[in-house]
Amino acid sequence: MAPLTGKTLLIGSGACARRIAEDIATQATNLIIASTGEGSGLSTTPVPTDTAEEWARVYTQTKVCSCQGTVGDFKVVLERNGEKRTAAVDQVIIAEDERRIPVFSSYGLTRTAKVIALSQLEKLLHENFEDDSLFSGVKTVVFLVGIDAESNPVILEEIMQSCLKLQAEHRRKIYILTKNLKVAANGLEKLYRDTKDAGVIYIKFTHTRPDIIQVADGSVCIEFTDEITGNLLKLPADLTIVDEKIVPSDYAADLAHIFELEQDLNGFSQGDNVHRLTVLTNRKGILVAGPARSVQSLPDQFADADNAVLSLRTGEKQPADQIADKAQIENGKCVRCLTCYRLCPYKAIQVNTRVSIAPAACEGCGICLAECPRGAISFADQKQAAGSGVPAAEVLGPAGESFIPSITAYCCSRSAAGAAQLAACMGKKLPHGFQIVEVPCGGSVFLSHILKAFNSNADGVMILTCHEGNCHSEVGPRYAQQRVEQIWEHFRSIGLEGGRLVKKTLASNMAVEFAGALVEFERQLMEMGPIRLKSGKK
Amino acid sequence: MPDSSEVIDLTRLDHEKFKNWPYAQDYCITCGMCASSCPASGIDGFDPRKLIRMISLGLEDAILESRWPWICTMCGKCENVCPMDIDIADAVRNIRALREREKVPGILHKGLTAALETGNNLRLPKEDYVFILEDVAEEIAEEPGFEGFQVPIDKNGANILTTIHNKLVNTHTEDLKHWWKIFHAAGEEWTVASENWEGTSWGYFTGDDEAVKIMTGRIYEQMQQLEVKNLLWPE
Repeated sequence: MAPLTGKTLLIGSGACARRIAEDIATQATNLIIASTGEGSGLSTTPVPTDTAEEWARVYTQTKVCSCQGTVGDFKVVLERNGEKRTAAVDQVIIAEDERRIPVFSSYGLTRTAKVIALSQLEKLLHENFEDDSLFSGVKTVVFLVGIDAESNPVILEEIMQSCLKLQAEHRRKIYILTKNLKVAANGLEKLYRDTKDAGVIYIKFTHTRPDIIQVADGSVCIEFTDEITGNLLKLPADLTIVDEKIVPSDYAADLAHIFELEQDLNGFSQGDNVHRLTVLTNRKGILVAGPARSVQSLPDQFADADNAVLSLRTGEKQPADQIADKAQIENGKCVRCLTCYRLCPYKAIQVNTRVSIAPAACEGCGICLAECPRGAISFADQKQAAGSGVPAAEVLGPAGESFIPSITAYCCSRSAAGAAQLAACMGKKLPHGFQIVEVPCGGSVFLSHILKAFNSNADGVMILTCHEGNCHSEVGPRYAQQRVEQIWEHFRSIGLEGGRLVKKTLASNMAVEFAGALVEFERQLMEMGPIRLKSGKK
Repeated sequence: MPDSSEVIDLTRLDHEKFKNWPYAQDYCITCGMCASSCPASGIDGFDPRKLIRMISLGLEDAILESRWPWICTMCGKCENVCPMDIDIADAVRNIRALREREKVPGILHKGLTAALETGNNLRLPKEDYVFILEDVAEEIAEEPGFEGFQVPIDKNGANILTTIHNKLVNTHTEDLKHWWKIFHAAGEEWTVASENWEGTSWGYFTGDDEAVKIMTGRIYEQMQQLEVKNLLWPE
């Protein structure tokens, strides 16, 4: 079957995906939608009337199996009822919905007619709103939220909205038992007040935990000491509502692997990295929005959807010459060891009959250059590569003068180089004998760069990278650390001081810390004296 | 302090009991700013947060029996720091008002009853009162510079009417002299009333709004009758 072609592939079936589809509809972009759902929601997406072309095709009950290629040239294999079809697209947006897990077991409860999950209650309230007999025999409703694991504002908002319905419309008595109320989202403090006005009673457990006892008829009785008044209280609940954890669905986790995306601690498809905000990933041309990247309320999901569509457009408009320098592989030297393929944080290395780097996907971090065992990779613009290789100038005081240590500082262009510039503007006192070598990423400093600096009379070498979680390539500080440790080992074996090689993390606004670190390094080097390698050379 | 050994069934409490109160106690987030600012925190286990919590849970019996509302000095530091703008001191005063009058602690309600019946907290007869005032005036007249000093009782058309705290005609008569000498030196047209002269109004402490109204009304009447423009009410 011929491959589908389109500009953008949208993966998802919920409200966020729908919003993205609607946003894109206004641009009449050629869109393919792969949805695992029945598609009743998405197939009703409005189609622009001023174009005769088919602008969006919705594939329901369809999953992604694999993806190859890079931005501008993705080949995504879609599967529906065992039938596979390739889609060739420029970009991908993932807006897959999350999954909810009620936490019955953490409270030691079993699901019964009298102990239900939050989603169940919402469904009941939504479907049978007018039917008061729904809760016949129920006077007291108890919500358990975030008593063991931390909750979040999305769950809290749903609980408070349900409370308002139950208390105000159905006249039930509501208690919310919680540890921390997560009200840090739009409108939640007001909603909290509204629930208090409606008569909801909150009971907070900061230092203690209530005894939650499920009795024979399946209902729950809770006993506790009120932490404020010290009263022993008991609360027999006719209906108990258990909160839910929000986690990525299994499919969303699969997608992260298929598209080789960073994941955060909770498994959502976006690393904990400021450079990914709001909807970016470690891969150019692949965006994550709404429930695919974090726990979000509906308005936040819509904002994410709008952001994703905006990011698509800015991504398209970026002129080639404004993009960072690109790495390229010299094929005569390459032995296809795939080191670069494994290490590239942006998955820009393509392996076909030859190994090549997709210019559009390359962010120019230089990690592949530093790690290629054959030295087969270089920057298209040789300046930057050469710059990395030039070590410190020799700084020698006139004969008889005191020792001035020669220092080479490899500075990441995104952080430490900025801090250095700022320090200079602020007139900070810096060591006499130091030289800055600006590098595209802390992870791009070769082992041989460091050794070459020492070989060319440096008494000390610093590698200054971004902070963890602040590094655009995510792994820069880690690689820098590994290399420093490697060299320390060599130094030990030949009896050189490990203190001559230092790695630090900085942000671009940390001029004071930058200057302080250099001055302190100079002081330490003065104590150590000139490096032994020098005397041998002269 | 409430008896904390008894297990209370929350569902049997009337949480709506104090719901019509305008003091916003329902908004309490139990942050404890009030408790840490209160100078009376810790006395008999009292702190304002506990009291507000009891109100919002509807622990009516425990609240009324508790000494806590009477430990509060109603200084208002708690509501000054409250992030939810709860009028804690007002709430305390309204709890006091709920207690049976006979069970109001100390001499507060007795003194107030005496004031309502006789015009002063001491049940001091008018002639004894006038005798004390004139005796103090004579002592002043013996001091150099105050020759001929007299106390102007019920002087019509004076500029200032001053009320008297009952202790000034009981144990602290010396304190009367300070005021009077200042009036004299300033050449002030002033007066004191022979009846309903009591300046204290213990209804403020016991939450008795009716009594406060009566006591204040009497002073106002005195001003009307004596055609005095200004009131000095040094309580």
